[in-house]
Amino acid sequence: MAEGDGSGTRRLTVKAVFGGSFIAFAALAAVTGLICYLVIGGNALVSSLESDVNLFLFILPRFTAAMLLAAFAQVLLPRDKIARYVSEEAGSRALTIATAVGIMTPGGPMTSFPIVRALRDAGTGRSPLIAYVTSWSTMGLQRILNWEVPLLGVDFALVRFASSLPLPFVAGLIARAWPLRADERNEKDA
Amino acid sequence: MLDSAILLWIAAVVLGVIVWRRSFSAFRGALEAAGTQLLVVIPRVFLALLAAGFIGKLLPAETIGHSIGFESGWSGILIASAFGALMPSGPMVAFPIIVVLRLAGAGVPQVTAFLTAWAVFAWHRVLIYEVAMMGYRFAAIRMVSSLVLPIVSGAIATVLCLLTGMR
Repeated sequence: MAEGDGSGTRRLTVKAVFGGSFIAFAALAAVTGLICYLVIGGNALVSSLESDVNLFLFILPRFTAAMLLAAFAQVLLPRDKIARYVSEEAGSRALTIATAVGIMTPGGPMTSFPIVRALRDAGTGRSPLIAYVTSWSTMGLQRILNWEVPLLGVDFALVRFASSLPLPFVAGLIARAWPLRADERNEKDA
Repeated sequence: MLDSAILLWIAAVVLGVIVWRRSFSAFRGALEAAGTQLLVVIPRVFLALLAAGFIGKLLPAETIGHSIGFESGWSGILIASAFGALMPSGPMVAFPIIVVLRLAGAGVPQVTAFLTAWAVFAWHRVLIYEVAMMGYRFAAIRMVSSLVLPIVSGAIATVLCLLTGMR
């Protein structure tokens, strides 16, 4: 993302920071702020701004640490390593491994779906694939550390994490009930 | 309560040292990647927080607290699941909205169900990535297999809340 010579990176960054969705977010904030001012009045606007700034200052140091953590984790857990780890397993052990690896997979959907694709190509069954997607989306550590812990607190994150632990197994087992198509028959476990 | 800032910084430093000792150029690359990410995400998060805060002032907090508060039980879990499944956004929008809902009195089990539904049904992500890379059939089977998940997580969270006294 930030490769190449310095000036190129800087140009890219300015465009990335203020382009695209930045305008949409700014417009959303301006419109909701205006409606707030018109409907409730200036005092509501000021008090809302104050609590937003406080929340932002609370989040900022946590968020910075979480982003660094995610970037380092991506160096330590490359995509092909993760894929190899899951595809070697079969049966109910595969569900457990898929769940554990889903929790640890760093990055957004642009990282995890190529892994799912590579796993299927390597012969991993439907059930562990679905367990993996469920685990990554509900318990992925990166999202928890980046967003949930800074904004909702450690206690909330712990309760939600514990509540989500069985979900990959539930989805993976339900997925087994679906009939296989001819081209899926050679999978190890589905 | 554990201070999440200390926790996160300790973890970041530990991983950073491990990466540094393995390869300095990988370390520098990761720092640059994180820096670019921060520059892109932080202004958007700030604006999303502002918008969510304003929306929070406009929303009828008591109605929300009543319909998806802890006391709302199963009906609140179902309502929250439905809204979570319909929400078309990434974490940058979803989490500020959840903060507002929590402040308005939404309960832990209901917010858990909301987050589960949002995470597993995220239809913007399904369309952009899952269907493109895995095909309709995989996405459809996964989503049907996931229908009960928000309710399961909401139920477990209810039990955990009753045990720990969280609301």
